[in-house]
Amino acid sequence: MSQVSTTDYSASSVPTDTYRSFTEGAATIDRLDVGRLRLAGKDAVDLLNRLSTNELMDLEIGNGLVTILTTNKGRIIDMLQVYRLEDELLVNTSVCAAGKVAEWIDYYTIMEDVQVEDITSRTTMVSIAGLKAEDALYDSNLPIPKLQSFISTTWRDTFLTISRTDFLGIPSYDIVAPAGSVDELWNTMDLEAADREIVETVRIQNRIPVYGKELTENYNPHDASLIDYVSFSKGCYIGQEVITRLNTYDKVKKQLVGLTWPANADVTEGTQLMLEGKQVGIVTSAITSLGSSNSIGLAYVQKSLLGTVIGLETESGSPVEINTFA
Amino acid sequence: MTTTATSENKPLTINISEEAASHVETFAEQAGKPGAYLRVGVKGGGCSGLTYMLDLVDEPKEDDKVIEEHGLKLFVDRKSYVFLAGTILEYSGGLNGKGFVFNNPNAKTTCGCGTSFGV
Repeated sequence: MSQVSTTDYSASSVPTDTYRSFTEGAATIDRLDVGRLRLAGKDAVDLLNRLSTNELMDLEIGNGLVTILTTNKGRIIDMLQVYRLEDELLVNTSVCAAGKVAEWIDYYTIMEDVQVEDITSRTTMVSIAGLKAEDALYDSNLPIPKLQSFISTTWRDTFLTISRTDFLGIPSYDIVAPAGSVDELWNTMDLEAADREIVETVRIQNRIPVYGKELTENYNPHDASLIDYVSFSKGCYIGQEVITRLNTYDKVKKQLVGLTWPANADVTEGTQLMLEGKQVGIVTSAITSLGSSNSIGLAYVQKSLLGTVIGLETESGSPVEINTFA
Repeated sequence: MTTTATSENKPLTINISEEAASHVETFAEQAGKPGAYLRVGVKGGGCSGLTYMLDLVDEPKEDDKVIEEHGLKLFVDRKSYVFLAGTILEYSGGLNGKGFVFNNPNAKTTCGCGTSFGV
Protein backbone atom coordinates (compact mmCIF):
# COMPACT_ATOMS: atom_id res chain seq x y z
CA MET A 1 0.00 0.00 0.00
CA SER A 2 1.13 3.53 -0.68
CA GLN A 3 1.65 6.23 1.88
CA VAL A 4 -1.02 8.86 2.21
CA SER A 5 -0.16 11.95 0.23
CA THR A 6 -0.91 15.33 1.71
CA THR A 7 -3.24 17.63 -0.13
CA ASP A 8 -3.03 21.27 0.82
CA TYR A 9 -6.50 22.35 -0.07
CA SER A 10 -6.48 25.36 2.20
CA ALA A 11 -4.46 27.40 -0.26
CA SER A 12 -5.23 26.06 -3.69
CA SER A 13 -8.75 24.74 -3.57
CA VAL A 14 -10.58 27.78 -2.30
CA PRO A 15 -9.05 30.80 -3.97
CA THR A 16 -12.04 33.09 -4.28
CA ASP A 17 -11.98 36.71 -3.22
CA THR A 18 -15.06 36.17 -1.07
CA TYR A 19 -13.25 33.45 0.84
CA ARG A 20 -10.16 35.61 1.36
CA SER A 21 -12.18 38.65 2.38
CA PHE A 22 -13.72 36.52 5.11
CA THR A 23 -10.67 34.69 6.45
CA GLU A 24 -8.25 37.58 6.02
CA GLY A 25 -10.73 40.33 6.89
CA ALA A 26 -13.74 40.14 9.18
CA ALA A 27 -17.38 39.22 8.75
CA THR A 28 -20.42 38.52 10.90
CA ILE A 29 -21.95 35.09 11.35
CA ASP A 30 -25.47 34.84 12.73
CA ARG A 31 -25.11 31.96 15.19
CA LEU A 32 -28.49 30.35 14.71
CA ASP A 33 -26.66 27.04 15.21
CA VAL A 34 -26.04 27.72 18.92
CA GLY A 35 -28.37 27.01 21.83
CA ARG A 36 -27.82 28.83 25.10
CA LEU A 37 -28.52 27.49 28.57
CA ARG A 38 -28.15 29.18 31.92
CA LEU A 39 -27.23 26.96 34.85
CA ALA A 40 -27.90 28.64 38.17
CA GLY A 41 -27.50 27.31 41.70
CA LYS A 42 -24.54 26.69 43.98
CA ASP A 43 -23.97 23.16 42.69
CA ALA A 44 -23.96 23.97 38.96
CA VAL A 45 -20.18 23.74 38.47
CA ASP A 46 -19.87 20.57 40.52
CA LEU A 47 -22.74 18.87 38.71
CA LEU A 48 -21.58 19.72 35.20
CA ASN A 49 -18.09 18.61 36.22
CA ARG A 50 -19.52 15.22 37.15
CA LEU A 51 -21.44 14.95 33.89
CA SER A 52 -18.82 16.00 31.33
CA THR A 53 -15.26 15.31 30.24
CA ASN A 54 -13.25 18.42 31.04
CA GLU A 55 -12.11 19.77 34.41
CA LEU A 56 -14.55 22.49 35.43
CA MET A 57 -13.63 22.81 39.08
CA ASP A 58 -10.57 24.93 38.21
CA LEU A 59 -12.49 27.18 35.83
CA GLU A 60 -12.16 30.76 37.05
CA ILE A 61 -14.88 33.36 36.92
CA GLY A 62 -14.65 35.20 33.60
CA ASN A 63 -13.18 32.23 31.76
CA GLY A 64 -14.58 29.52 29.56
CA LEU A 65 -13.72 26.07 28.29
CA VAL A 66 -15.03 23.35 26.06
CA THR A 67 -16.30 20.15 27.62
CA ILE A 68 -18.15 17.18 26.19
CA LEU A 69 -21.32 15.63 27.49
CA THR A 70 -21.08 11.86 27.02
CA THR A 71 -23.29 8.86 27.70
CA ASN A 72 -22.22 6.13 30.10
CA LYS A 73 -20.79 4.38 27.05
CA GLY A 74 -18.57 7.37 26.36
CA ARG A 75 -20.56 8.44 23.28
CA ILE A 76 -20.99 12.11 22.43
CA ILE A 77 -24.23 13.83 23.36
CA ASP A 78 -22.96 17.31 22.54
CA MET A 79 -19.90 19.51 22.80
CA LEU A 80 -20.46 22.39 25.21
CA GLN A 81 -18.83 25.80 25.44
CA VAL A 82 -19.06 26.75 29.12
CA TYR A 83 -18.48 30.15 30.73
CA ARG A 84 -18.25 30.71 34.44
CA LEU A 85 -19.95 33.76 35.87
CA GLU A 86 -19.93 34.71 39.54
CA ASP A 87 -22.95 32.63 40.47
CA GLU A 88 -23.95 30.72 37.34
CA LEU A 89 -22.73 29.04 34.20
CA LEU A 90 -23.58 29.94 30.64
CA VAL A 91 -23.53 26.90 28.43
CA ASN A 92 -23.58 27.00 24.65
CA THR A 93 -24.88 23.87 22.97
CA SER A 94 -25.93 23.00 19.48
CA VAL A 95 -29.33 24.63 18.96
CA CYS A 96 -30.73 21.21 18.06
CA ALA A 97 -29.37 19.66 21.27
CA ALA A 98 -30.31 22.41 23.73
CA GLY A 99 -33.47 20.63 24.88
CA LYS A 100 -31.71 17.28 25.17
CA VAL A 101 -28.80 18.78 27.11
CA ALA A 102 -31.20 20.61 29.46
CA GLU A 103 -33.15 17.40 30.07
CA TRP A 104 -29.94 15.43 30.64
CA ILE A 105 -28.72 17.91 33.26
CA ASP A 106 -32.15 18.07 34.85
CA TYR A 107 -32.39 14.25 35.03
CA TYR A 108 -29.13 14.08 36.96
CA THR A 109 -30.05 16.96 39.28
CA ILE A 110 -31.17 14.98 42.29
CA MET A 111 -30.19 16.61 45.54
CA GLU A 112 -28.22 19.43 43.97
CA ASP A 113 -29.12 23.10 43.88
CA VAL A 114 -29.13 23.54 40.10
CA GLN A 115 -31.69 25.22 37.84
CA VAL A 116 -31.46 24.96 34.07
CA GLU A 117 -33.00 27.62 31.87
CA ASP A 118 -33.02 27.71 28.09
CA ILE A 119 -32.34 31.34 27.12
CA THR A 120 -31.84 30.73 23.40
CA SER A 121 -35.00 32.47 22.25
CA ARG A 122 -34.58 35.59 24.36
CA THR A 123 -30.97 36.19 23.38
CA THR A 124 -29.17 36.61 20.10
CA MET A 125 -25.63 35.60 19.22
CA VAL A 126 -23.44 36.85 16.41
CA SER A 127 -19.79 36.00 15.83
CA ILE A 128 -17.27 38.41 14.35
CA ALA A 129 -14.78 36.15 12.60
CA GLY A 130 -11.65 36.54 10.51
CA LEU A 131 -8.08 37.76 10.92
CA LYS A 132 -9.31 41.34 11.39
CA ALA A 133 -12.09 40.50 13.83
CA GLU A 134 -10.17 42.14 16.66
CA ASP A 135 -9.84 45.36 14.65
CA ALA A 136 -13.60 45.36 14.06
CA LEU A 137 -14.26 45.23 17.80
CA TYR A 138 -11.64 47.87 18.47
CA ASP A 139 -13.13 50.21 15.86
CA SER A 140 -16.50 49.92 17.59
CA ASN A 141 -14.99 50.68 21.00
CA LEU A 142 -15.81 47.20 22.23
CA PRO A 143 -13.54 45.38 24.70
CA ILE A 144 -11.43 42.51 23.38
CA PRO A 145 -11.41 39.35 25.48
CA LYS A 146 -8.62 36.77 25.37
CA LEU A 147 -9.20 33.28 24.02
CA GLN A 148 -11.62 31.34 26.22
CA SER A 149 -12.57 34.32 28.32
CA PHE A 150 -15.45 36.75 28.19
CA ILE A 151 -16.15 40.37 29.02
CA SER A 152 -19.54 41.82 29.92
CA THR A 153 -20.08 45.35 28.74
CA THR A 154 -22.73 47.77 27.56
CA TRP A 155 -22.99 49.32 24.15
CA ARG A 156 -25.41 52.26 23.99
CA ASP A 157 -27.29 50.92 27.04
CA THR A 158 -27.46 47.39 25.66
CA PHE A 159 -25.89 44.67 27.79
CA LEU A 160 -23.45 42.52 25.81
CA THR A 161 -21.28 39.54 26.58
CA ILE A 162 -18.27 39.20 24.31
CA SER A 163 -16.14 36.06 24.29
CA ARG A 164 -13.42 34.67 22.09
CA THR A 165 -13.77 31.04 21.06
CA ASP A 166 -12.21 30.72 17.58
CA PHE A 167 -14.95 28.18 16.90
CA LEU A 168 -14.00 27.85 13.22
CA GLY A 169 -10.28 27.57 13.88
CA ILE A 170 -9.79 31.24 12.95
CA PRO A 171 -10.08 34.27 15.26
CA SER A 172 -13.68 34.80 16.24
CA TYR A 173 -15.51 36.75 18.90
CA ASP A 174 -19.00 35.76 19.96
CA ILE A 175 -21.36 38.55 21.01
CA VAL A 176 -24.48 37.66 22.98
CA ALA A 177 -27.18 40.24 23.68
CA PRO A 178 -30.91 40.39 24.41
CA ALA A 179 -32.84 39.35 21.32
CA GLY A 180 -33.49 42.16 18.87
CA SER A 181 -31.41 44.71 20.76
CA VAL A 182 -28.27 44.99 18.69
CA ASP A 183 -29.27 45.64 15.07
CA GLU A 184 -27.81 49.10 15.49
CA LEU A 185 -24.48 47.60 16.57
CA TRP A 186 -24.27 45.46 13.45
CA ASN A 187 -25.08 48.49 11.31
CA THR A 188 -22.39 50.48 13.06
CA MET A 189 -19.79 47.77 12.61
CA ASP A 190 -20.62 47.72 8.92
CA LEU A 191 -19.32 44.20 8.27
CA GLU A 192 -20.42 41.79 5.59
CA ALA A 193 -22.40 38.77 6.67
CA ALA A 194 -20.28 35.72 5.94
CA ASP A 195 -21.48 33.43 3.19
CA ARG A 196 -22.80 30.18 4.69
CA GLU A 197 -20.86 28.04 2.20
CA ILE A 198 -17.64 29.80 3.07
CA VAL A 199 -18.23 29.31 6.78
CA GLU A 200 -18.83 25.62 6.13
CA THR A 201 -15.71 25.43 3.99
CA VAL A 202 -13.55 26.95 6.72
CA ARG A 203 -15.08 24.61 9.28
CA ILE A 204 -14.30 21.57 7.18
CA GLN A 205 -10.80 22.78 6.34
CA ASN A 206 -10.07 23.15 10.03
CA ARG A 207 -11.69 19.81 10.81
CA ILE A 208 -14.19 21.25 13.29
CA PRO A 209 -16.88 18.68 14.15
CA VAL A 210 -20.50 19.76 14.53
CA TYR A 211 -23.55 18.28 16.19
CA GLY A 212 -25.60 15.90 14.09
CA LYS A 213 -22.77 15.25 11.62
CA GLU A 214 -19.55 14.44 13.44
CA LEU A 215 -20.94 14.76 16.96
CA THR A 216 -23.47 11.97 17.47
CA GLU A 217 -23.89 9.03 19.79
CA ASN A 218 -22.12 6.88 17.17
CA TYR A 219 -18.79 8.41 18.16
CA ASN A 220 -16.67 9.09 21.23
CA PRO A 221 -14.30 12.02 21.91
CA HIS A 222 -11.29 9.96 20.73
CA ASP A 223 -12.94 9.31 17.36
CA ALA A 224 -13.74 13.00 16.94
CA SER A 225 -10.20 14.15 17.87
CA LEU A 226 -11.58 16.06 20.85
CA ILE A 227 -9.19 14.63 23.38
CA ASP A 228 -7.93 18.11 24.30
CA TYR A 229 -11.30 18.56 25.98
CA VAL A 230 -10.99 15.44 28.11
CA SER A 231 -9.33 15.45 31.53
CA PHE A 232 -7.70 12.14 32.42
CA SER A 233 -6.96 13.27 35.97
CA LYS A 234 -10.23 14.74 37.21
CA GLY A 235 -11.82 11.49 38.35
CA CYS A 236 -15.23 10.10 37.50
CA TYR A 237 -17.78 11.58 35.12
CA ILE A 238 -20.40 9.85 33.05
CA GLY A 239 -18.58 7.82 30.40
CA GLN A 240 -15.16 8.17 32.04
CA GLU A 241 -14.50 4.47 32.43
CA VAL A 242 -14.96 3.75 28.72
CA ILE A 243 -13.10 6.84 27.51
CA THR A 244 -10.14 6.14 29.78
CA ARG A 245 -10.02 2.46 28.82
CA LEU A 246 -9.98 3.32 25.11
CA ASN A 247 -7.02 5.57 25.80
CA THR A 248 -5.12 3.19 28.08
CA TYR A 249 -5.43 0.17 25.82
CA ASP A 250 -5.23 2.07 22.53
CA LYS A 251 -8.60 0.71 21.43
CA VAL A 252 -9.77 3.69 19.40
CA LYS A 253 -11.08 2.30 16.12
CA LYS A 254 -12.11 5.35 14.12
CA GLN A 255 -10.71 8.78 13.47
CA LEU A 256 -12.10 11.95 12.00
CA VAL A 257 -10.16 12.93 8.87
CA GLY A 258 -10.35 15.47 6.09
CA LEU A 259 -11.10 14.29 2.56
CA THR A 260 -10.76 15.61 -0.97
CA TRP A 261 -12.35 14.26 -4.12
CA PRO A 262 -12.99 15.46 -7.67
CA ALA A 263 -15.82 18.00 -7.62
CA ASN A 264 -17.83 16.03 -10.15
CA ALA A 265 -17.85 12.88 -8.02
CA ASP A 266 -21.07 11.91 -6.30
CA VAL A 267 -20.03 12.19 -2.65
CA THR A 268 -22.48 13.37 -0.01
CA GLU A 269 -22.97 13.08 3.74
CA GLY A 270 -23.53 9.41 4.48
CA THR A 271 -21.50 8.13 1.52
CA GLN A 272 -19.64 4.99 2.51
CA LEU A 273 -15.89 4.77 1.92
CA MET A 274 -14.63 1.47 0.63
CA LEU A 275 -11.31 -0.35 0.47
CA GLU A 276 -11.05 -3.57 -1.47
CA GLY A 277 -14.80 -4.00 -1.32
CA LYS A 278 -15.15 -3.44 2.43
CA GLN A 279 -16.60 -0.39 4.15
CA VAL A 280 -13.86 1.39 6.07
CA GLY A 281 -15.41 4.80 6.63
CA ILE A 282 -18.32 7.16 6.21
CA VAL A 283 -18.53 10.75 4.99
CA THR A 284 -20.05 13.08 7.60
CA SER A 285 -19.68 16.48 5.94
CA ALA A 286 -19.32 17.34 2.26
CA ILE A 287 -19.06 20.60 0.38
CA THR A 288 -18.11 21.61 -3.11
CA SER A 289 -15.12 23.88 -2.78
CA LEU A 290 -15.68 27.30 -4.17
CA GLY A 291 -14.27 27.66 -7.64
CA SER A 292 -12.14 24.57 -7.36
CA SER A 293 -11.94 21.28 -9.20
CA ASN A 294 -11.90 19.47 -5.87
CA SER A 295 -14.53 19.07 -3.17
CA ILE A 296 -13.75 18.65 0.50
CA GLY A 297 -15.33 16.92 3.42
CA LEU A 298 -14.93 15.14 6.71
CA ALA A 299 -15.22 11.45 7.37
CA TYR A 300 -14.74 8.85 10.03
CA VAL A 301 -12.25 6.29 8.78
CA GLN A 302 -10.92 3.10 10.30
CA LYS A 303 -7.94 4.30 12.30
CA SER A 304 -5.69 1.34 11.47
CA LEU A 305 -5.63 2.44 7.83
CA LEU A 306 -4.34 5.93 8.47
CA GLY A 307 -0.75 6.40 7.44
CA THR A 308 -0.79 3.39 5.16
CA VAL A 309 -3.61 3.73 2.68
CA ILE A 310 -3.81 6.20 -0.15
CA GLY A 311 -6.72 5.13 -2.26
CA LEU A 312 -10.21 4.85 -0.91
CA GLU A 313 -13.26 5.00 -3.06
CA THR A 314 -16.98 5.47 -2.66
CA GLU A 315 -19.55 2.76 -3.23
CA SER A 316 -19.93 4.03 -6.81
CA GLY A 317 -16.18 3.94 -7.40
CA SER A 318 -15.26 7.62 -7.10
CA PRO A 319 -11.72 8.10 -5.78
CA VAL A 320 -11.41 9.83 -2.42
CA GLU A 321 -8.22 11.00 -0.81
CA ILE A 322 -7.60 11.24 2.90
CA ASN A 323 -6.06 14.51 3.89
CA THR A 324 -3.38 14.47 6.53
CA PHE A 325 -3.44 18.14 7.44
CA ALA A 326 -3.05 18.79 11.16
CA MET B 1 -55.05 1.42 44.60
CA THR B 2 -51.88 -0.09 43.22
CA THR B 3 -49.03 -0.66 45.62
CA THR B 4 -45.50 -1.30 44.40
CA ALA B 5 -44.30 -4.52 45.96
CA THR B 6 -41.44 -6.97 45.88
CA SER B 7 -41.88 -10.56 44.79
CA GLU B 8 -42.66 -11.36 48.43
CA ASN B 9 -45.41 -8.75 48.19
CA LYS B 10 -43.68 -6.38 50.63
CA PRO B 11 -43.69 -2.65 49.82
CA LEU B 12 -40.39 -1.51 48.31
CA THR B 13 -38.18 0.19 50.83
CA ILE B 14 -34.51 0.54 51.66
CA ASN B 15 -33.18 -2.05 54.06
CA ILE B 16 -30.01 -1.92 56.08
CA SER B 17 -28.31 -5.04 57.35
CA GLU B 18 -27.59 -5.44 61.05
CA GLU B 19 -23.84 -5.35 60.38
CA ALA B 20 -24.12 -2.18 58.31
CA ALA B 21 -26.23 -0.52 61.00
CA SER B 22 -23.61 -1.44 63.58
CA HIS B 23 -20.83 0.04 61.46
CA VAL B 24 -22.77 3.27 60.99
CA GLU B 25 -22.90 3.64 64.77
CA THR B 26 -19.16 2.95 65.02
CA PHE B 27 -18.31 5.45 62.30
CA ALA B 28 -20.58 8.07 63.87
CA GLU B 29 -18.73 7.71 67.17
CA GLN B 30 -15.34 7.85 65.43
CA ALA B 31 -16.45 10.98 63.60
CA GLY B 32 -17.41 12.63 66.86
CA LYS B 33 -21.10 12.47 65.99
CA PRO B 34 -22.53 9.82 68.29
CA GLY B 35 -26.21 9.31 67.71
CA ALA B 36 -26.08 10.84 64.23
CA TYR B 37 -28.44 9.57 61.58
CA LEU B 38 -27.60 8.18 58.19
CA ARG B 39 -28.52 9.98 55.01
CA VAL B 40 -28.31 7.98 51.80
CA GLY B 41 -28.82 9.36 48.35
CA VAL B 42 -27.86 9.43 44.75
CA LYS B 43 -26.17 12.12 42.70
CA GLY B 44 -25.48 12.47 39.03
CA GLY B 45 -21.99 11.51 37.85
CA GLY B 46 -19.66 8.59 38.11
CA CYS B 47 -18.80 6.45 35.12
CA SER B 48 -22.25 4.92 34.78
CA GLY B 49 -24.38 7.98 35.43
CA LEU B 50 -25.32 7.90 39.10
CA THR B 51 -23.25 7.70 42.28
CA TYR B 52 -24.25 6.62 45.76
CA MET B 53 -23.94 9.02 48.67
CA LEU B 54 -23.65 8.35 52.40
CA ASP B 55 -23.54 11.04 55.05
CA LEU B 56 -23.97 11.42 58.79
CA VAL B 57 -26.53 14.07 59.67
CA ASP B 58 -28.29 15.44 62.72
CA GLU B 59 -31.81 15.64 61.32
CA PRO B 60 -33.87 14.90 58.23
CA LYS B 61 -34.63 17.48 55.58
CA GLU B 62 -38.15 18.49 54.78
CA ASP B 63 -39.84 15.84 52.59
CA ASP B 64 -37.20 13.22 53.41
CA LYS B 65 -38.40 9.68 53.67
CA VAL B 66 -37.46 8.23 57.07
CA ILE B 67 -36.70 4.52 57.40
CA GLU B 68 -35.79 2.82 60.67
CA GLU B 69 -34.16 -0.57 61.01
CA HIS B 70 -31.91 -2.23 63.61
CA GLY B 71 -32.18 0.88 65.73
CA LEU B 72 -30.79 3.14 62.99
CA LYS B 73 -32.73 5.95 61.37
CA LEU B 74 -31.98 6.40 57.69
CA PHE B 75 -33.08 9.44 55.68
CA VAL B 76 -33.46 9.59 51.91
CA ASP B 77 -34.75 12.38 49.71
CA ARG B 78 -37.71 11.60 47.47
CA LYS B 79 -35.87 11.77 44.15
CA SER B 80 -33.01 9.55 45.31
CA TYR B 81 -35.59 7.10 46.66
CA VAL B 82 -36.84 6.51 43.11
CA PHE B 83 -33.40 5.09 42.26
CA LEU B 84 -32.88 3.30 45.58
CA ALA B 85 -36.21 1.61 46.34
CA GLY B 86 -35.54 -2.06 47.02
CA THR B 87 -31.88 -1.51 47.90
CA ILE B 88 -30.23 -3.37 50.77
CA LEU B 89 -27.35 -1.48 52.34
CA GLU B 90 -24.77 -3.96 53.56
CA TYR B 91 -21.27 -3.83 54.93
CA SER B 92 -18.39 -5.79 53.46
CA GLY B 93 -15.49 -5.97 55.91
CA GLY B 94 -12.19 -7.78 56.10
CA LEU B 95 -9.05 -7.55 53.98
CA ASN B 96 -10.90 -7.53 50.68
CA GLY B 97 -13.93 -5.69 51.99
CA LYS B 98 -15.48 -2.83 50.11
CA GLY B 99 -17.06 -1.08 53.08
CA PHE B 100 -20.67 -0.10 52.64
CA VAL B 101 -22.24 -1.79 49.63
CA PHE B 102 -25.52 -0.86 47.97
CA ASN B 103 -27.24 -3.95 46.61
CA ASN B 104 -29.58 -2.07 44.33
CA PRO B 105 -32.02 -4.02 42.13
CA ASN B 106 -32.55 -0.93 39.96
CA ALA B 107 -28.89 -0.84 38.87
CA LYS B 108 -28.70 -2.21 35.33
CA THR B 109 -25.05 -1.27 34.87
CA THR B 110 -22.26 -0.60 37.32
CA CYS B 111 -18.76 0.72 36.82
CA GLY B 112 -15.62 -1.23 37.64
CA CYS B 113 -15.24 0.20 41.13
CA GLY B 114 -18.90 -0.35 41.97
CA THR B 115 -19.58 3.15 43.24
CA SER B 116 -21.46 4.24 40.15
CA PHE B 117 -24.51 2.73 38.49
CA GLY B 118 -26.99 3.27 35.68
CA VAL B 119 -30.69 2.49 35.59
